[in-house]
Amino acid sequence: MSQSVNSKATTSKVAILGCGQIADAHLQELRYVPGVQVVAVCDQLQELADQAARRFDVPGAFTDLERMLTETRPDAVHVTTPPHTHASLACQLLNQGVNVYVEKPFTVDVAEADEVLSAARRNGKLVCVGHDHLFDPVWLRLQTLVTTGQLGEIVHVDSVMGYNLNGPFGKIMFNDPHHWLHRLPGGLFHNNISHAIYKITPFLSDELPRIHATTDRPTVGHPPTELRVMLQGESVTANIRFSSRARPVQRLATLYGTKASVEVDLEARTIRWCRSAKLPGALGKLDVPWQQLREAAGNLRRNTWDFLRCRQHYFAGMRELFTRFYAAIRAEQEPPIPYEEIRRVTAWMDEIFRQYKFTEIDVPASIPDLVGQA
Amino acid sequence: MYLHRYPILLARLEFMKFDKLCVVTGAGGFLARRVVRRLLDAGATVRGLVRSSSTANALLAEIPPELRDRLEIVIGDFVREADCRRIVERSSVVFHIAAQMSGSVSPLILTNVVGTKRLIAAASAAGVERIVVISSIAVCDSQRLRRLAIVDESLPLESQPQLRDPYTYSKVQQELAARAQCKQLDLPLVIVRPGVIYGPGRGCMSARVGLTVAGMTLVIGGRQSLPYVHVENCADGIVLAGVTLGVDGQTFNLVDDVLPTGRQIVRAHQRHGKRLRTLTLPVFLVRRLSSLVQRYHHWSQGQLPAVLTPYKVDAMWKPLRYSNARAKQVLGWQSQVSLESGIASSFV
Repeated sequence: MSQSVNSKATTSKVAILGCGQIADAHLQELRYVPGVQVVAVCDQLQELADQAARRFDVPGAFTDLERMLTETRPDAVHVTTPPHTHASLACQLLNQGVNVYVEKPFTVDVAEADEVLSAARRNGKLVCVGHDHLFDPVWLRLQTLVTTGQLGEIVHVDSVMGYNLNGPFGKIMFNDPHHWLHRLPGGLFHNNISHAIYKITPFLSDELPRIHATTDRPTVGHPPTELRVMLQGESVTANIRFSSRARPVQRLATLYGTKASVEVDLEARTIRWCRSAKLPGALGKLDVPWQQLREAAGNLRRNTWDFLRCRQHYFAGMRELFTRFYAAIRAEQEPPIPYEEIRRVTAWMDEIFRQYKFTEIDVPASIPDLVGQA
Repeated sequence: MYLHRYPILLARLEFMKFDKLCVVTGAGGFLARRVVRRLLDAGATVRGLVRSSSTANALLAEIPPELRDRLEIVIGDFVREADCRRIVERSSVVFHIAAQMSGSVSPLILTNVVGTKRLIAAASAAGVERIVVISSIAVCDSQRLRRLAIVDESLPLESQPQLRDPYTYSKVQQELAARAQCKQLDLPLVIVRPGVIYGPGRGCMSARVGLTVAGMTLVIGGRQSLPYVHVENCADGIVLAGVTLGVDGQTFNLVDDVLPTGRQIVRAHQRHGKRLRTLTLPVFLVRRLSSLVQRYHHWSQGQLPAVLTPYKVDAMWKPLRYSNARAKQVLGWQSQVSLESGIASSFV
């Protein structure tokens, strides 16, 4: 297995800009992308650049972007900085003739997204966004079901995104009222909701469907953490449920088609068909669980086989997306995620956050500075 | 309630007329709030940094009303330069106890390394007389030591910290950064490296005993001494490191006189009615297994994380002896809370 780590032939030189938590996943997965070599990492803080370079054996650690570009001349840069910096950094890189991979969310709003996409077109370089769930093995299987017509025409999509606020990022973000996340127009949702949206956009072709968004009611110091969105397109509808309270934390999508409906579980990496009884009356109550049992056995068999073949990596979707992005760069082809899709996801986010207006009340822990005085 | 625990310490502090303004970061924490209490009892004025109003209120509730007028609680974050400047203003000694203990490497580095550097810079600019940085005994490079060799302050820092857990990595970087910056800025520095801190409210189970897998505690070795220090003993040592004259530039490992073994910790849990499913594995077997885990991790391109590696096993469970001689000789520190009463207290 491990011998397939980056071949040196036709190597693309890659740099990482921003050495926070998600950069670890990029550095880990880039090790196994064919034809890629990470030549540098860059962060405003030397300490963060150094730790990434040391842990992932990257030769260059920089704090100055211009210097990194001059000295290492990367073919592509992964922008893994906070979202409010994505647009300016991506434009700067594209204008210097570098291909860019931007972590989600692509930009803060659609105006910024347009700037980045035009910079890519103007400079003849590729830009890609981290919509990696679309390249997860289970989602690729779902796409096959859709394109081969096994589900019929899609009429509705439910997209569920769970979020654990007790996880490493959630804790940091909630304990720090100065965290960059609190300055985004959509707060917590802004950083995550794109994962739920881009699972809908392939099936709901409207440029901007009718959107109704609502959240739980915030109180002082406690920003909302629950978001519900209803989307109504010309012929397809969809729901988004973002929840940080529901357990277990889920990443699900249910597609309702005119022939069949399926539920895709990205955590378990399984597809479950919505079953109906083939036997009449009370026998049907036995028939459906029997079908579900056989399906579960099939999923277990498939996942075990994939595990034995070492295909059950957590960030498998990210690795596949990287692979396609670098293949597109080398072959001078279209990027793996169409620019129209990137723009639509950002525009839908704008509309959702326009309806749910992030306010001062949402900033956590607005507290007096001095509790006791000497 | 507290006073009977450290009469010798108080006597020394009273003798020194230690009435300076001390800053304690993470003042609401398990260890730091005990340091705060000792300093207040000794007559010092304390400025405690906490991150939230709820922590501030919890700390205040523990302090008797007659001491509160010498306690100032500041809500802030030492990673922010402005907060650093604010908290060290006019202070004499800074006890930097706050640390992030879990999470991935980058936030740990940001808090434990970048934050420490910013605090040191602010302390130097404010003319602080001494900063005491709390590190961890895990930073000692015990890889090349033989079985039952002594771990003391003469050991170098872990040479390949990136092969350890994220917390240890960040603490090694913190020590390196603190030393370099204090030297550059001419700020007197004392480093204290406690072992595993245990006591009331935190319990005494730790990864040094073993791993918990699917509800079962895998006790690794079980017979080797574990570098533990009771929280009250640790707080004594930290205060002494801050007030003892002539110790600038020194490092002190803090572990108790009598150290527990993994088996003792497990038995104590069982004695106190805790249901614990355990399986004891010899260290050599775990080391072999860890070698397989590491190989599989590489072969499978990271399908399973390398949670166990021979490097980590040696660092965590190799039978070693831990010395507290320097703290006792130089600081006059004593391990007042015995192992028996310390373990009993951790079930309170």
